[in-house]
Amino acid sequence: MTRDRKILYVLAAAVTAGLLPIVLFVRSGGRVLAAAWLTLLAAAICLLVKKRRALSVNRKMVLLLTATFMLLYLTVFYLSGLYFGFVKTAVPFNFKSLITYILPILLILSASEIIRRVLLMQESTVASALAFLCCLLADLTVIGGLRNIRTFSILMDTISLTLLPAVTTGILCQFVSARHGALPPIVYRAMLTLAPYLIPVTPAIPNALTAFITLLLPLVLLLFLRTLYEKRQKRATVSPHAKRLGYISAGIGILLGAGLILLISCQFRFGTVVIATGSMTGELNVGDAIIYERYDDQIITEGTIVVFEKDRSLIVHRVVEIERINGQNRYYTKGDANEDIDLGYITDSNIKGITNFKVSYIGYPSLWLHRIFENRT
Amino acid sequence: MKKRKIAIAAFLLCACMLIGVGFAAISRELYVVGTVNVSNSSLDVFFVDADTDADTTDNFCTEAKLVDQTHVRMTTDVMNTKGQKAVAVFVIENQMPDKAASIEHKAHTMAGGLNSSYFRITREFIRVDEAHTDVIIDTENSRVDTLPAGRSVILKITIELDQSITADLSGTSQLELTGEFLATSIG
Repeated sequence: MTRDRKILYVLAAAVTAGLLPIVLFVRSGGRVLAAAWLTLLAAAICLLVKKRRALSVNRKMVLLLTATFMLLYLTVFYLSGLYFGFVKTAVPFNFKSLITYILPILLILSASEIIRRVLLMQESTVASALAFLCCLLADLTVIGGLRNIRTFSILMDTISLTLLPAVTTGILCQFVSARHGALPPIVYRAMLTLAPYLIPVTPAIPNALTAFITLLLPLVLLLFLRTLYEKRQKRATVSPHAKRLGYISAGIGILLGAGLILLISCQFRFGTVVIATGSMTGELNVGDAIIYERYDDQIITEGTIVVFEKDRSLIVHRVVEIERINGQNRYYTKGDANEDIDLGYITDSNIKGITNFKVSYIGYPSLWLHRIFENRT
Repeated sequence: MKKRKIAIAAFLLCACMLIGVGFAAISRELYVVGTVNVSNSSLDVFFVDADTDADTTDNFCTEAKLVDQTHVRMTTDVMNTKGQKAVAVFVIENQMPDKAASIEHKAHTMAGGLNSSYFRITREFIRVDEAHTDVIIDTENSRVDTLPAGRSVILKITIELDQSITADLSGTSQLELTGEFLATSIG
């Protein structure tokens, strides 16, 4: 093993050893600590490792393409707020947020990408894996670590909004860094991560939808850059039948994926609810997933099974009685398996949707996941 | 390169399934709304404050508020696992200028479906200040024996789920708790 590799592996191990406790144990100040640690080690790598430069092709063009792609994405992202509405960001932009969030995050991203770049220059599988791991840990320190995971929803948010996108971002950045230098990945990650800290509002896109978008975004850019810059390789002739099959499979995959996104997010015409209780046993059993059509003043009659929201809970019950008082519809509901009618009544504003059809048993994985976590807390 | 593509595709598939399963909306059923009051309207013994209990970790009480001087309301989040609790604290003040009062729990009712037996309700009176030794509390019987004029006492109500809600149980429905406390003047 060369001298450079030895030094690099030791420093990369130090990065991991330093970031891991920050991710797992530090409640506050983790970003500043991680920024300091990564900057120190990135500087050490630059000073001690001789083989850290390599030819980067099309660096300026790729940088420009990445920045443009991200600008386009952010424009579409923020314009979507016209449909979903806007909410204030949790951290307002001021001097304090500059010191405690923006600068440390910028340092973390820059230092981790420099470390990644130098590790990739060693052209070794171990070095690539270390680079991936270090940047993944750096991403976790950016969100504040794993110390504050107390509920299932925070766990899901961490996994789907940070961990999974960090993997696909890592795939993109490993590809770009090895060929075009560290700057394009820094620009990509900085624009994606720092936008909420600089802009005071953010679109109220449901987390499920955001998770899908941030998961796929890096792969879209990767596909674009690969198509543009990878040399065309000679391939064996592919039969038209196989090509057709490939296109059909890809098309089906895209349709199913899009359908899943639409249903899970519950933001479009149809939504999904998993039945977790036995109040409608017989008609809707525990573990069933119902597809409902969003309520848009459709006529509701006695016997209709509706999805409504009451006291922050989503409930699926049957309408048993309807009254019209002072121009307002009052719906009295009851679970089929319950002895009594639900207390009180609901109005049109409570109703989210009307059940369309159900898929039996498909909701069980969701229920199991919720219950595993709820039993542990 | 082909292996890498397959690995990425497999990862994407698993990630999408995980996101779909984890973010699927789950229907809920159980929630509790409670009301307590201090009856005997001829006495100036009133609720003056209401709040969720900050000392309870994972408190399922989402709101505790004054409806009026003799009614307070506590609202809880969904509870479905044994041991989960909703805890609210209320302050009762004896506003009579020269008479002490005693306060005792009279009755409570649970209206709703089959789930009333799943809950355990405890009431606890606590001195606002331990230095107020003239406030005499019978902790065993959950009553205030003496609340001197001008003094306040804290009423802590805990609603605890005594039995986990699982797929085997049916007939869950909304519950309404109504508690009544009797204030009696002393002397």
